[in-house]
Amino acid sequence: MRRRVALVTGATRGIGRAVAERFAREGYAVAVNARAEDDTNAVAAALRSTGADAMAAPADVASSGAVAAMLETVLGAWSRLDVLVTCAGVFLPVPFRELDERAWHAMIDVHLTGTFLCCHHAAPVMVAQAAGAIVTVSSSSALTGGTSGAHYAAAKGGVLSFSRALARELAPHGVRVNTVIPAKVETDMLRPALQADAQALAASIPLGRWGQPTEVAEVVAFLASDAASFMVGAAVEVTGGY
Amino acid sequence: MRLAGKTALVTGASRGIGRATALACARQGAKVALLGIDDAQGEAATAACRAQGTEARWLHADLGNETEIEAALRSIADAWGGIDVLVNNAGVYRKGTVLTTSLEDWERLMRVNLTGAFLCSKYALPSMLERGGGSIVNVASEAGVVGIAGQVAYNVSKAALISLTQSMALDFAAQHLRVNCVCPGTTLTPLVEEAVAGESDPAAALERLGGMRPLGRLGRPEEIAEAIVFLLSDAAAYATGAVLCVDGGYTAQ
Repeated sequence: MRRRVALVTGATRGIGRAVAERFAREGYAVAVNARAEDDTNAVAAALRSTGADAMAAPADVASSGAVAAMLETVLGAWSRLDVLVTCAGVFLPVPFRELDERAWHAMIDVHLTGTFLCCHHAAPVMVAQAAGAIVTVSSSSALTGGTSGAHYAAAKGGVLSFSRALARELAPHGVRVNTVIPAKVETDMLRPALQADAQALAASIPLGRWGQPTEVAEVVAFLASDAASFMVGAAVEVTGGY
Repeated sequence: MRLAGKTALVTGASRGIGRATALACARQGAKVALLGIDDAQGEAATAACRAQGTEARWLHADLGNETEIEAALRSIADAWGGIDVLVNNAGVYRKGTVLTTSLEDWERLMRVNLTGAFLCSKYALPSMLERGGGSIVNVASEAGVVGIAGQVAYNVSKAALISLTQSMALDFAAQHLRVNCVCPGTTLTPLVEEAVAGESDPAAALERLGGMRPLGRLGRPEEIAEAIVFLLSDAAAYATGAVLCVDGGYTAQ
């Protein structure tokens, strides 16, 4: 059986790392993306130490040139791309009156433009294969506005709409695009917020606890798998009911 | 195996999505109770589950009949001690607008599609909670997410089923009971084949229904069953109150 290849952005921490580990366990060759080369090397090495095939794929997803070069590296090594998961993100809550243009662009660049650029460079590969699955990561903030700032909600709302539109265009070419919508997940990115108000926040979640990155990774793995062969443009909430 | 050691109840299990789900539960190691009204097809589906190497039993009950549902749930409790996962799948379909739908048809659809899920949940919940929680999946429809012309009663029953899902998810989350919903698109099942049987060219009608979605085809019962089993399993441990569209992209449009 041929090896399946997954590229995971933002794969050195949080949800992205759990996703990379999940695909590695399933026998995928995994390209580990993040901005910091040292971190991608370390995570790729950790995956290889479990017997998986993994490579570091450092790149700033907000840079078209860097994303193109990353795809070239992955395809150069493994010749195909079956799965793309776009987890790269930043979390910088800012109240609106303090939200300047720089903070706005920083947020939109990574989440929305980053998702666009990865899909922009990966989709032609998948269309040529007539097969592939893309899973993007939105947020409950896209639906509710959230409490992390208008720029974050806008970026994640953009990811959701972008994914649905892309899903319609790529479905006839055998490429499925779906989205996960996490809420409160215990990641490095959100841990400061968790520590600040852990009890109150957990109480606001029907399941009574924060989610674990592995619990989001399971849903991502399902959406990327052939078990989800009739799912296109779906937005799957993994929120503990939040 | 994702449901090893679990006991599952699937309603409307004699055919279509229900049958595929019962078989998928059996393949994943669950004991399976299949519930419905068609004894011949139901027994055959039950035998197919047993052929997967697990225990299975057929329960005759009409989803519109509280006494029969209560008796069916009691018989599972007597035999197997209760259930861990429930799939409220049974459904009926009628065409019609508000003007052309009789009160009788309206009430029958609500009774089976909505009240049936309410009643099965009502009588399954005590044993599920007693066993420390569990997982329920309601099978709604894309027609509960967006409006589809000419089938008002069906649409309303399925939209309400989504609301039932969200309400139950909130009411029982603290007791480790997860409730989620799968919304299939048009799937190649006897229910859909019967729905187009009255058309002048049923095959063309099916083709058209498939062509209405980005994937350009109808779903297969097994593809819906995969999503249901995923939500039933511990892999979906943090998903509750979720609405999973498995519709070839129909509602993304």
